[in-house]
Amino acid sequence: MLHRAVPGAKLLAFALVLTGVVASANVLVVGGIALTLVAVIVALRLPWRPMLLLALYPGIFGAIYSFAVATDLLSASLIILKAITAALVAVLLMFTTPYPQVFAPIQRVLPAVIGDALLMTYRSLFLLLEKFSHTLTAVRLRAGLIGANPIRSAATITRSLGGVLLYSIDLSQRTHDVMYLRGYDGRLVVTPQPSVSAWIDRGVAIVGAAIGVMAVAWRIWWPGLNPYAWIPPLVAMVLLVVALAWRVFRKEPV
Amino acid sequence: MSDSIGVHAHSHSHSHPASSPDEVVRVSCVKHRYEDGTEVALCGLDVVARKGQRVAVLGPNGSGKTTMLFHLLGLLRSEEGIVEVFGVDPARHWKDVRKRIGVVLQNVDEQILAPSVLDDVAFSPRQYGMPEPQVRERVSAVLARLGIEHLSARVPHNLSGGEKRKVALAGALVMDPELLVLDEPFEGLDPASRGELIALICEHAEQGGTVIMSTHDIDTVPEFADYCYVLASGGAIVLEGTPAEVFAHPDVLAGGNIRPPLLAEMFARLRALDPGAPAPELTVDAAARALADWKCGRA
Repeated sequence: MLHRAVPGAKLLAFALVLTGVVASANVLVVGGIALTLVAVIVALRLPWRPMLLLALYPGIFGAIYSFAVATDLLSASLIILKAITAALVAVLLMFTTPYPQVFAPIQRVLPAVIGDALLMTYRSLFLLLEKFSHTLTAVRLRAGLIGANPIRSAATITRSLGGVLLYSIDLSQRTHDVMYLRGYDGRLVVTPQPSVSAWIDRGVAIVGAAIGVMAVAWRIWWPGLNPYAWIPPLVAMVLLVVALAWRVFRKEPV
Repeated sequence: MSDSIGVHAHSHSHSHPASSPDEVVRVSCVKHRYEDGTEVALCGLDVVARKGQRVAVLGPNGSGKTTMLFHLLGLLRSEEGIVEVFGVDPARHWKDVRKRIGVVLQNVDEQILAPSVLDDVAFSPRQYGMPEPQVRERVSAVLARLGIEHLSARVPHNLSGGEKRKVALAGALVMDPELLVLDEPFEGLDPASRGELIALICEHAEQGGTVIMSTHDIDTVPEFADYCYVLASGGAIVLEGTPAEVFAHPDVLAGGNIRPPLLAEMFARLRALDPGAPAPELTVDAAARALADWKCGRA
């Protein structure tokens, strides 16, 4: 369903959920949002392993930050969970929306060269990661990475990165050449994705709004709501169980 | 050495008039110096491609094949000499001619820009401001023509090398270009895909399109090319003619580090062993017929 929603609706939902995560000061509420997102991932049969791994990376930086500033375990958990949940929303958006459609609205309000650079950076990133991976394989095959000598290995990796940097400068010129050959004239044209169903678009926006409003309301009226803080994770858990059951019932690998 | 080869080759070559209405491409003694000081001088003979012609540019690594194609695409500006595509200098007037030119570069990975095959093939028509229904129609037609409709929703990053090349070719053909410029188009293709590409090139030429391509794949040249140019190291254009004419000069080809097609070599050795052997044939069918006729004649 999320794949079929227009990018505008998804971006709106993304912004609302993100606002909720940022505003929330209750670990159970944030946990509930995270579990809801996992339920969505499971229900939509998205590749949950790489998505969760990607979302966990900011958690590492969150952990370092919380170690420096958090005064107790609860606030440390909140910082880490907020980082992971915010990343999970972004990952969900990127996995269900072609990247030009994500960047197109940003491109419209930015100068042409910056908007186009955002679009092309994303594509170049894939090429550079592939190049770096090939370079590392070559380094490994030529005994450039030696477990017993981590300093030498680190130096080799740094030199390889230097090579990739030079390649990236060359690549940017070639990419511009290709764009020029294929009709680029100072502004990339991104055709808006047409709406498949207004109901789906509205549904996505409403779910996003519901999550965002719930989190913000909790932040404002927390003294009265906190005794019921077990409800969001419970509801999310039920959603996750339903999503899992649906997949098992449909006999599809989880 | 290149001068003497050039004179030798010229005596066997077709002469070109200064310019004719059906002339699509002309490269005349173009010189280019790269940032590292390497100079490429595409001199000796004029390279001319006419409407409906399939032209192959052959030469060893570093001979200037890609430099020549980049001049045709306006990516490089010549310091000396003439480069004309549809009668204009592409480096100065690229926007006037670019809709008429389709391109497939050597590294197709870097040519694919969009996140899905459909969006990538639609890149040029969208950039040219074509209405979306027309874009979809053109994309569907070209994907069907190349037999890759099933790839339309795929992410190009995950395609095989051959599939990526077909996607790049679809992106080049989507605007129905009058001139198709292909840089090493057979690289990384399996025999079946190579055959399909040759059929497409021939189909494009039959419909009046011009094809100019660089290639190392000498054995396939007689199957797709009407006319060939041979470059030696440094860019000297030393030989021109039909594939049969060009491959009849193994000594000149050897000077340019080019080995003639296996069939040409086989017929040459056969003639060395038996002067009554048939004249060289460069395609498998023609060679089989010639050998069968020779055998019957002998019998």
